[in-house]
Amino acid sequence: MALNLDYFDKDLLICNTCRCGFCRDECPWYMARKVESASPKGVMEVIQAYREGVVKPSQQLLDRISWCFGCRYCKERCPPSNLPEKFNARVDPGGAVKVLRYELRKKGYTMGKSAETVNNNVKKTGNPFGVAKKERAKWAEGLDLKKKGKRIFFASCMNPLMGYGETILKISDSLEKFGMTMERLSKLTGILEAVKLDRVSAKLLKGTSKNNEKYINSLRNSAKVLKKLGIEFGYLGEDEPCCGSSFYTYGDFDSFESNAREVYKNLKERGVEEIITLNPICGGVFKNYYPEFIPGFDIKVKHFVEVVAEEVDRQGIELKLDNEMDIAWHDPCYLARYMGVTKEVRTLLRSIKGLNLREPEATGNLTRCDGGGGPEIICPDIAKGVAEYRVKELMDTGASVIATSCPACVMMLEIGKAKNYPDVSIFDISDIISMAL
Amino acid sequence: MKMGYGKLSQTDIKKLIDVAGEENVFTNKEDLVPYGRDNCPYKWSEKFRFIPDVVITPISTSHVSEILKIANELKIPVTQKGGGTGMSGGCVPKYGGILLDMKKMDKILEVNKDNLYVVVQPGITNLRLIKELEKHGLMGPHEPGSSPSSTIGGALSTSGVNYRQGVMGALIDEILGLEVVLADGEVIRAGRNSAITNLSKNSVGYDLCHLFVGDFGSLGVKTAATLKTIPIPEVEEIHVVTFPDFESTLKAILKIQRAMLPGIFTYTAFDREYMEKASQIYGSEVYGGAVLIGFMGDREVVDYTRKKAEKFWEEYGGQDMGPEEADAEWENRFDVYPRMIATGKPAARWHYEDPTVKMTDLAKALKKYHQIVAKYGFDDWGGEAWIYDQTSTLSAIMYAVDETDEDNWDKYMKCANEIVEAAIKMGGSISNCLGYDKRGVGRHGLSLLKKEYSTPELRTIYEIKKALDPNGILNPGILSLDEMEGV
Ligand SMILES: Cc1cc2nc3c(=O)[nH]c(=O)nc-3n(C[C@H](O)[C@H](O)[C@H](O)COP(=O)(O)OP(=O)(O)OC[C@H]3O[C@@H](n4cnc5c(N)ncnc54)[C@H](O)[C@@H]3O)c2cc1C
Ligand code: SF4
Ligand code: SF4
Repeated sequence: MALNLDYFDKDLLICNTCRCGFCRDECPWYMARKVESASPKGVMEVIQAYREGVVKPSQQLLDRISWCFGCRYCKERCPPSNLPEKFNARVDPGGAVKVLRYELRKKGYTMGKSAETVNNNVKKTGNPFGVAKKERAKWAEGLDLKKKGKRIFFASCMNPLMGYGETILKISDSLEKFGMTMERLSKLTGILEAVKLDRVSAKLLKGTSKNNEKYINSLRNSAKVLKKLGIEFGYLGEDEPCCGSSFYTYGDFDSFESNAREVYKNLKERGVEEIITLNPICGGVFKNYYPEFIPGFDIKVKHFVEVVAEEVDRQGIELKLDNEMDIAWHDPCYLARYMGVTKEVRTLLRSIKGLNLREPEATGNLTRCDGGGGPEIICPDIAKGVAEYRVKELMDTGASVIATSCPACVMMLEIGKAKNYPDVSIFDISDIISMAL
Repeated sequence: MKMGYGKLSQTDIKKLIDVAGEENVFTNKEDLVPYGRDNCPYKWSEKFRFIPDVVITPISTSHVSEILKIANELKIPVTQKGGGTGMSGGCVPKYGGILLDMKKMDKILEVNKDNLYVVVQPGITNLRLIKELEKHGLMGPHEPGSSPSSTIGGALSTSGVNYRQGVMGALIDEILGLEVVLADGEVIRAGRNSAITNLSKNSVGYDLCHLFVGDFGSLGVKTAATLKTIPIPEVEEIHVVTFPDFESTLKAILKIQRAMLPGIFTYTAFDREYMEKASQIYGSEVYGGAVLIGFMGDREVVDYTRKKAEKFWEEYGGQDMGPEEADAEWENRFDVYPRMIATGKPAARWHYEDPTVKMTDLAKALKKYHQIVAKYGFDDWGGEAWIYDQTSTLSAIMYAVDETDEDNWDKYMKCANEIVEAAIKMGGSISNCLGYDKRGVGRHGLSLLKKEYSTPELRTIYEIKKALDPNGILNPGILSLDEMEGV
């Protein structure tokens, strides 16, 4: 069952008759481009026109829609979408964009070299970076994690390897200083191919492994926290599959579907009933997209923070930081809007003595994307602008550090802080909990 | 002023690119398509009919000026667009040509906390301006129902009304000065002082500034505006008060108004039909009438005013629904309208007629509107009133118009026209804030306008247009100016 635009019939009808545009002003794609066709409202009109043959399929069209960050702000902000359930009035422009990408790709148009390279990497190596499998499981060395369990900790391929992503974006950024804009570079060769990540040079690896450290630390911290709280879980190590999020994001639904079926079969065969993930992208993909392709998908999916909040409350544990911290919390789109987790974070963070929680203007389910979500490799300079805006918004709260819980967000915030806030630390929530527990 | 308009050639587009930069000029179909409609009803089959030839997103006054020079020379129509939430086809390029999307000009140029004014570019949304001014302890000048997406430029050009007009006034009261680019590219400062345009009154010459307020972009392109602001008061309190019927609601409001109490910033009244619709959506209880009333000021003022007002509303059977209901209602104030759309039949769009009537005619007017809607068999979504002052109340009726149902289109035109004619008969006006051309683009020509204005008035309007825009390039088709020649 591959999705097609018919799935969005009602969305298109509602939006095209409503046309309120409330979703537009804060859409990160629109904020970067400021033209209607690069906005959720506008793209719904474009999609309607496409369906009616007024706009024809073209590479240009796919290029235009490849910059939607998939952050779901539009769906969340949309007034009809927020009606009581009985009206069944969801409007999901970002979702429709992904389906249009699929349709255009099937017609032979391309999401660009970077995106295609990522998808090929997932096919070849099971992770977007094209890195060997054993590299991915290295983070758990010495933690003595069980390999099996009804409940598993899903490390994802991003958390253990996100340093590669950060390195790639940073390299592209420096190239820009020499007059080679990232946009042009990615058009020419695909960023990933340009830096030859699949044949990484020794020098590059050095930088990468340094960047990778903090992501790995967060993973180790989260595993340690879960253990300390007495939560039983297994970790599949090198056998852990990739959820396939990039297939979905970059419009290759056929590969997404076959991968999802494989992953589901694999997990079921291992007796997995529940997944705890630190990466809300995988969590959001399991929760939202798997059921679209696998009717009856029955594996429970929770984010690390949900599990910890529940356990801390149940056991009446007191959390405390040794040194007081003013923390601005950045809700990742995937955590807040795809997984629906916002309250638990606040309960948990507010319960920590010595932690002062600062909320930015765009927060909770109406959080602002920081430029991750896929387009960062297609239009890195735009994504960087989005990240810089978000970092400023977070720092305007008066906080001294930023916390979040998503490897792609950590990466983008790292990119976004470089210019104006180079000394600010970006933590994953697992790092904070581990300090306070 | 139906002129033979020119057509843009590739060379002309190249000239426009030279002026505005490649990144601000769009000619691909997928970029043009979203500029074909605003928020008034359109036949579904015609939704891609009014597509511009080129979209330009200027970033400065000089961009706008240079673009207009080219357009004026070539006689190319130019239509300005803000948020596109307008409900009278104002931002729709009826004759194609150039569409100026003003939203890239969205900067706040000055916040003057001492003299309480703000200078902004026109493309900033009303809500963004509110949020930015909040950071300075100041109140946004304009807060309409469409705040998340409408722009200050659009609001000025439609002469909008807003939720806080009891204290802030409507935009006509708040505007101090404008920077406007005229059709030939000339830039003028329209205000009470030609140098800085931030005085609220003077006695030298015509009031040029107000000439451009409510012009729907037909006289010039607004590129900056100076607006009044006020400090955010200590307390803001919202109450929802229900009444046994709409008449008592209005009587209570009148009594409160006449007591000249300080710090009442909003009155929005709803009738039974409105509450029946709300009940279908949210399962809320139905009352005969209700008012959303807001108080602001320091604690003592708010307490004083509320206590006095309470006494008046109780005289008419008013019942305060408590803070929870009121806060929820206030929180939802922007979303209620767009939400309605998705609660009707598929493709049933919310249509809003907004004639102005006197406070004392309000109950009679709404009753009449409901009868008309019932006569034509449309789904009635209720009536409401935004009270500005005693003489000018926005008397609104909302009903569902199915854009896909072309057979019903004539019926809809007749229904809409009958509603506004009823208001004119009461000494009212076709529209309070949304504009003249609400029944789809250029559909009723001069006929309705002639019911509101006499010939010498129409001639004066036309002469002003001709003086400022002799080639008729600015937003042609709006206010049926294109049909006024020789009127
Ligand atoms: C849900 C909803 C609620 C609404 N609530 C209210 C309300 O409470 N009060 C109210 O008054 N209206 C309301 N409206 C109507 C509409 O929002 C207003 O008319 C609004 O001011 C239009 O602003 P805009 O930026 O969307 O303008 P557009 O629709 O883009 O344009 C409106 C007109 O202004 C012109 N224009 C835009 N920018 C410029 C410029 N820079 N220079 C010259 N001309 C320009 C356009 O050419 C057009 O004629 C509502 C509409 C909706 C959909
Ligand atoms: S998903 Fe995000 S980036 Fe994409 S259209 Fe919606 S708000 Fe914009
Ligand atoms: S997606 Fe929703 S919020 Fe955006 S224009 Fe459409 S109906 Fe309005």
